[in-house]
Amino acid sequence: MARNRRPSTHALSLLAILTEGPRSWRYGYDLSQETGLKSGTLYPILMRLSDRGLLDSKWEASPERGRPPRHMYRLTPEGVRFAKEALTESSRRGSTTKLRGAHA
Amino acid sequence: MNDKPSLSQSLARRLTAHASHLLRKKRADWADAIRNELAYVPSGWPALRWSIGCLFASYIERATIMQIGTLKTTRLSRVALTLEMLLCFVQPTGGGLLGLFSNALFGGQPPFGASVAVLLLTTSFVGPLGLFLGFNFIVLEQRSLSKRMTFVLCALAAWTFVGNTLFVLSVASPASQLRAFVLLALFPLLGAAHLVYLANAGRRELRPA
Repeated sequence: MARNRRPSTHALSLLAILTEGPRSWRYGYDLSQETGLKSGTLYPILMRLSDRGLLDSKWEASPERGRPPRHMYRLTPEGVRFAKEALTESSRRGSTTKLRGAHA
Repeated sequence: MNDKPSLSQSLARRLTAHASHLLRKKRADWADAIRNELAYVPSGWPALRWSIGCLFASYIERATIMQIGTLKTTRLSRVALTLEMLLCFVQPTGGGLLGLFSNALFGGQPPFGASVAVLLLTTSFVGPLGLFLGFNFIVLEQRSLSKRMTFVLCALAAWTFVGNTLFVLSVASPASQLRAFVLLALFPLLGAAHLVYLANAGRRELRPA
């Protein structure tokens, strides 16, 4: 049985990028640049998402000779659903926190 | 043209190769992904930073796998875990029962009242019962714990902790209270927490991809 834990802020920032154009494939380094996540944070999150069936991956052969094939990622349909729910929940919680802060 | 890689490039490659090697056994695809991606990262400091991050990620991943792998695959870890459980549970079980039986057999007056004796008796039995359930399910049969079983194990551990803490507070002298608390209450609690943690770690590892 999978644990149903809230995604971390790092995972949320990655999910936010992945949901922009959810059908397009993205490279690890580009994801790192877009999210500002370092590789040491990015890859464990990608692995967990993949383990949970939320992330698809495939290999792309390089058009340049001598360069190795590249791993690409995109959310599965379940991943897109999960990401949208998580991002909505996060923004709702964020606004609740702001409200609490205003009343404090 | 000089194709010799710079020191930082060479170091980045070595680090990424090592990171990839660490992941190879359990996550071959990811090992290749990490290694190949370096070819697309600008050389110099970005590549070096990228490779250090990959190495960090690989060690974290490796450590996560080892937590479960050692329990599943090696006999040594089971022996170590058995010793740990004995350390955690023998003292509260054996000490309590021995004290009660010796008093009963030799007719001595126990240094505590009947209510404390009942408390000690229950915690002396509850401890090994929890140990038997947890150890049998998690270590020997390697089954993941259901929510109900986790609750039972936690309840038994909590009862042992509370009961033995009360016992220590009511019986032990101030000088020996800390030692008695650690041996009788804290160790069983930590042992049970470790078993529950291992069971959950096993469940994470067994989760389908």
